[in-house]
Amino acid sequence: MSTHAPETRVASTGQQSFLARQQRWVPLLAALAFLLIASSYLYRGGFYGQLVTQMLIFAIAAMGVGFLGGYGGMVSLGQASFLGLGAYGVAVPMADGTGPWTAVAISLVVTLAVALVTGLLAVRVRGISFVIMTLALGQILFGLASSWVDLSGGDNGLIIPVAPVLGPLDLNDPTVLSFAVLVVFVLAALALRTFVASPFGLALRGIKSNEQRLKTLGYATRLHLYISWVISVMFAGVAGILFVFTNGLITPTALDFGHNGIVTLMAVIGGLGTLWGPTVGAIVIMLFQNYLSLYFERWATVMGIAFVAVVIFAPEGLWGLVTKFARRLTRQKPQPGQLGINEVPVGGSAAETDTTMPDPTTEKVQQ
Amino acid sequence: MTTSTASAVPPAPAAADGIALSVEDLGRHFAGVKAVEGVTLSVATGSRLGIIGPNGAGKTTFFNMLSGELRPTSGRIHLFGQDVTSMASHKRVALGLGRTYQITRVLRGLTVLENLAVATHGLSRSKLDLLRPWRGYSSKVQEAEELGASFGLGHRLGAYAEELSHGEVRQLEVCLALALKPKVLLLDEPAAGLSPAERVDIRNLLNGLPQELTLVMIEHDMDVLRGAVDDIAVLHLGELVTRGSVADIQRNELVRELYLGKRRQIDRSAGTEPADTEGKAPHA
Amino acid sequence: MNQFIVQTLNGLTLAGIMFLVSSGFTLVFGVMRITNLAHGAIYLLGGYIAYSTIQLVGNFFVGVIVAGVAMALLGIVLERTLIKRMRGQVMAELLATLGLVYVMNDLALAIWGGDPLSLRLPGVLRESSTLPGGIVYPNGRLFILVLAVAIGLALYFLLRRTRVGAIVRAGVDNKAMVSAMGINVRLVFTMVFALGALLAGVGGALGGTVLSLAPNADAEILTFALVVVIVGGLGSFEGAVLGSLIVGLLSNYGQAYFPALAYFALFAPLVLVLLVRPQGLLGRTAA
Repeated sequence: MSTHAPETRVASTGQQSFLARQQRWVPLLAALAFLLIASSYLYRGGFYGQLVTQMLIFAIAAMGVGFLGGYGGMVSLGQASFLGLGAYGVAVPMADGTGPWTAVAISLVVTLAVALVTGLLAVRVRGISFVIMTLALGQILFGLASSWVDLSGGDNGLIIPVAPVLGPLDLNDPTVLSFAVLVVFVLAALALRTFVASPFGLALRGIKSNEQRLKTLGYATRLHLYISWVISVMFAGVAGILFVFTNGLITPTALDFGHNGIVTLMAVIGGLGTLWGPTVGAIVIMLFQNYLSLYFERWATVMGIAFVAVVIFAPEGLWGLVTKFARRLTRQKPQPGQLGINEVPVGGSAAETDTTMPDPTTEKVQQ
Repeated sequence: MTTSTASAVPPAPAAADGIALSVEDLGRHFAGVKAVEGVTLSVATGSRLGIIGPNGAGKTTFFNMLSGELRPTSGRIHLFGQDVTSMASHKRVALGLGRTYQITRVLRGLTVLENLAVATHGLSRSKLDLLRPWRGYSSKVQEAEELGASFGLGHRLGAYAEELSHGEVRQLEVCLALALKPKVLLLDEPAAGLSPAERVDIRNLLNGLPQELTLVMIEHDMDVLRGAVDDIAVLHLGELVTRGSVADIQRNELVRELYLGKRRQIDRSAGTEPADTEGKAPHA
Repeated sequence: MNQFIVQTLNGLTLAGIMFLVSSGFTLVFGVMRITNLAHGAIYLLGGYIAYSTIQLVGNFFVGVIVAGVAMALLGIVLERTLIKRMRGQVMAELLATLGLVYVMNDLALAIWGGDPLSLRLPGVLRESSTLPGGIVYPNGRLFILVLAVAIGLALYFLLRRTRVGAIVRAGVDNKAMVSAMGINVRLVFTMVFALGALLAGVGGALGGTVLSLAPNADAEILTFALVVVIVGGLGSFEGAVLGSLIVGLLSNYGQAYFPALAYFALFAPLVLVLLVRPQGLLGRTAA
């Protein structure tokens, strides 16, 4: 449910329908149901437990893409590489003999440092150029992971010898670890929700809508975008830490173009600009990858086609569709296009969103 | 207009000579085409200046330079005595500059209330707050609601910006600029594309602006200008042709020639440049 | 010194291949505002098709031509079926091409498998020539260089000196005007997209002789192409030339002299351009 819609949207007749009044409870119940279902899988472990764990991990990464792209208007194609960065950030020190908690700390610091530095580049461009730049950055990280053999172990990657212990909780136990992942997921989701509802989140949506306008409303927009970038990359980094402990190893493949594309696919297919879209997208894509693949060798082709279909016919994403229908069911006003990829600004001349003819006299000032 | 202390705008630095805004030899050209050339004028604090000129006269380019969206290729701009020629837009806003756009730039995908709320946080550190919900800033929310209400948008706070009528969009456009309590307001054709009834609303809006606000307004409609501004500057082909009181300009032969008749079709569709049959475009 | 000249020639060869790929990419972007992420996959597919054609027919040059033509046809099909449906929604188009990447890669995997393939050159091209200064250099690479330059000149001539080219360049600037002038913009779009695909296909066939064709090769060449167009300027043909030279030479020198840091050779021009001139060296509007 998008929280930026005011809680009580009244139907045009002036009367709240029964369903609309119950609307307040639906998100809570849905969340509880989701948690219960997930927990049951995690508890049982095995193939499905592992699958759900990975879904949660990638959902965190996809949420980063969704935040930056859906709310900030900058679509990143480098998220898997930052996830890999977080993973290597743990694996490399541990290969050197460092303890797990120290390695986690090192990973967070390294990811933050990279986020801060790459952010300076990221905010120089918008729209398509931004997408391309993130792709290039991601590929460069991939290249480093493959070729800096002394550090990264090259194509063989690195193995994690041991997971951390948190008091009575031994994260070396897969079940305990997967519940830890669930907890981090919940925290990440709550963080996302908080950010979106904050004045920062509001400003971000404003920037996505019309960056120039925000500047003349007193906003140093680059700062907002920079911070959003850092947040997005940190989501990936955290996901990477969880990834490397649950998988026990990290190889450069996890940072390649295919994986980067998939994380973005998750956010888009679920619905950019929604809170739960990326999670839904992660679930769907991982089902393709891990479930469909058991029965159908050409699952990737099916996934690609499905993605193209969503892009063409449902740009607001699967979750976006669900919220759209939910709104219709409760007889609320349809929420005008805020969701999905067609609302993402594409750069080029100054972002004019409601004009028939772009003003030829405005040229961006390098600020 | 209620002036709440919720978002405190630093008082405008008092310029020694009471000049709010001045430009010297301001110019901008694009690959040889001179959009604005050698404009020098100053606007006293608290005064109201209208800017007229045929389409293509460089008026919006001029505004874009004032607001910082376009870098001048020559000349300087001073805001309350401070040189802002290469200052970033948001910093000029902090000094007290506000502007509206002829082709409206309200924030689509956000409700009217959200639009106004964004504006109220504009000059406050709260805009970087990641943790508190924006609805929790009750004073700012109230400020936004009151601002909207004072401009007739009180019943439309929950509507999305793209659902508003053209006239309402224009009002929101002005609202947004006023939310930052500017000391100098640049209004770019606030009445463009409005019906006669809506123009009355605009005139009332202009009358309701704070007395101490310095106003620079681009407009074509003399009815809107008359009574709203003290004097008028005339731009033509990017140059400042003349300046005088409303009455003087109306009588001015040269100005009349430049315009060659002021009746023109007004295109009612939202946001479009009014289709212009006024005058042979003097950029022959 | 000789070694340096050889490396320079290697860099130029790489630049030649990059130019073929990135010029197609930048042209499609310039005219249609489409960021075709599947461009790398088209390169790879072109290479694979050249490989199979050569297996079948035994003639390298036929392989190159078939690769180009086949990819041009694919381009036409893609443009007419998919791109048309996007109705100019730029971000949607980009993401749709991303989806295509998975489809194309998977189908290529199914047909040609995962092992790296490379193209065998015909007799004379397998030999080496002695260049002035006593440098011995493989003919195959010289062939690539010559062909890349020839195609570059042909493209330049097409864009700058012919009416068609003028229409294309006008389309880059102002689509609406071109359409208002009665020119069939749809046809122009399809042809441009097909041309882009053709260039990528030929690039793949040639590239397959020096770089291997394998499942990740498309991402690699796409990365090169993207860095080239960021450095040179999105939409600028001359930018593609300049960018290819810079990136090709730097990348090769990096590979040859500092192999561990080869990726920084890619990184450096990218970072510099983004910091100093984000729209690219020869790009026009701010990106």
